[in-house]
Amino acid sequence: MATATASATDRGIGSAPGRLTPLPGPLVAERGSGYAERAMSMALDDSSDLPDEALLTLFANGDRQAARALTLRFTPVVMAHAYRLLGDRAEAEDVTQEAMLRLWRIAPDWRAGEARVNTWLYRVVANLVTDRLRRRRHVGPPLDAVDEPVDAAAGPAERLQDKARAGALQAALNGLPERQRQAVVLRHIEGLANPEIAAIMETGTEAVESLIARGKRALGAALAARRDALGYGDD
Amino acid sequence: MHWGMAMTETDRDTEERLEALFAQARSAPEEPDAALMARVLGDAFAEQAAIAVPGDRMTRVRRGWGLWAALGGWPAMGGLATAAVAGLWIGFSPTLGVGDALGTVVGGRTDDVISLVDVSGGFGFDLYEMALAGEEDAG
Repeated sequence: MATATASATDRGIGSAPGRLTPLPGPLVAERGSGYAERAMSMALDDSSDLPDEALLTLFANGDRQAARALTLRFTPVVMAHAYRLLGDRAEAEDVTQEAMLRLWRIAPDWRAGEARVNTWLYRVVANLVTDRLRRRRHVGPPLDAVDEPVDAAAGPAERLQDKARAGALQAALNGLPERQRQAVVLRHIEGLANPEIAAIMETGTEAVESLIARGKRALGAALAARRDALGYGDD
Repeated sequence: MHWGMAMTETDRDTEERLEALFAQARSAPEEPDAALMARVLGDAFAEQAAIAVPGDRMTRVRRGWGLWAALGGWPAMGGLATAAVAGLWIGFSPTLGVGDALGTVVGGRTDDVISLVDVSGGFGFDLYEMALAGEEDAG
């Protein structure tokens, strides 16, 4: 995540209409691996290396460049997290759009210093995901395994194995109880510290530690059952 | 982690494999495609436009200030206040020809009324001039 030090005043934000350039063409036209990195480096090259809260203030004042910067900064974070929790790309996209919409709407009322934007977004995603999963339990089928059947002709064996392992991890995550999954993902994939996870999940750090421990044990068991398929059979 | 002392060889293997999978997951996050970025940015611009439409709280504040500014802001308010005070004084001052009758109407002697406004040292004339200037401005 971008950490920034320059203040809005330093950057002269809002004073230069010429900065309002369109979203760069390649970012819109291309997709595939490395998109988030390119978007992020783009954001860092631009004036968007401002602190999150400064960007929110500019956004609320109608600064379109701030809207772009916030979109580039947070959409990938939210998308990655929503996908990890849902295991379904289309649903993760909907949750991402909704979570970002809530950010746009809270921007004029954002209270400085109260929460990190990241933390706030993780909590919004958690709530949206909970709603989705509840609805799914009522009307939909259980989670499917997310990995596509591996095509032997698609590439080198190592890549296939990576893909299989990534799919297996996601499938195993999908099989966890919701709170365990959330805690494990926040700790081990998003890389957050337990107190921050506790704040996001609105619980205590001890409860978080317990959720993570139980979640990892269940993940280990689920993956052990597939060790041969994942190339762990030799050791 | 919690498995600590009781961790067996198998547990350690599992832990290492899990960590390897987490590391792989960290390095390959699910990315938003261009269509999603466009949807999100479209919402952002729409919300910014909504913030600026009439009826919105911020706009109401700005419109309030606009009315204030249209009236001339603080300088104009100062002029209005001066004119009001001057008017009061002119209305009650027998020296400008209104006469003692009014003083009688508002109850008491003329001196009592005039004492409501300090008319010493030609101050009254200044007020009168300012009131005239205020009327010219308003016209």
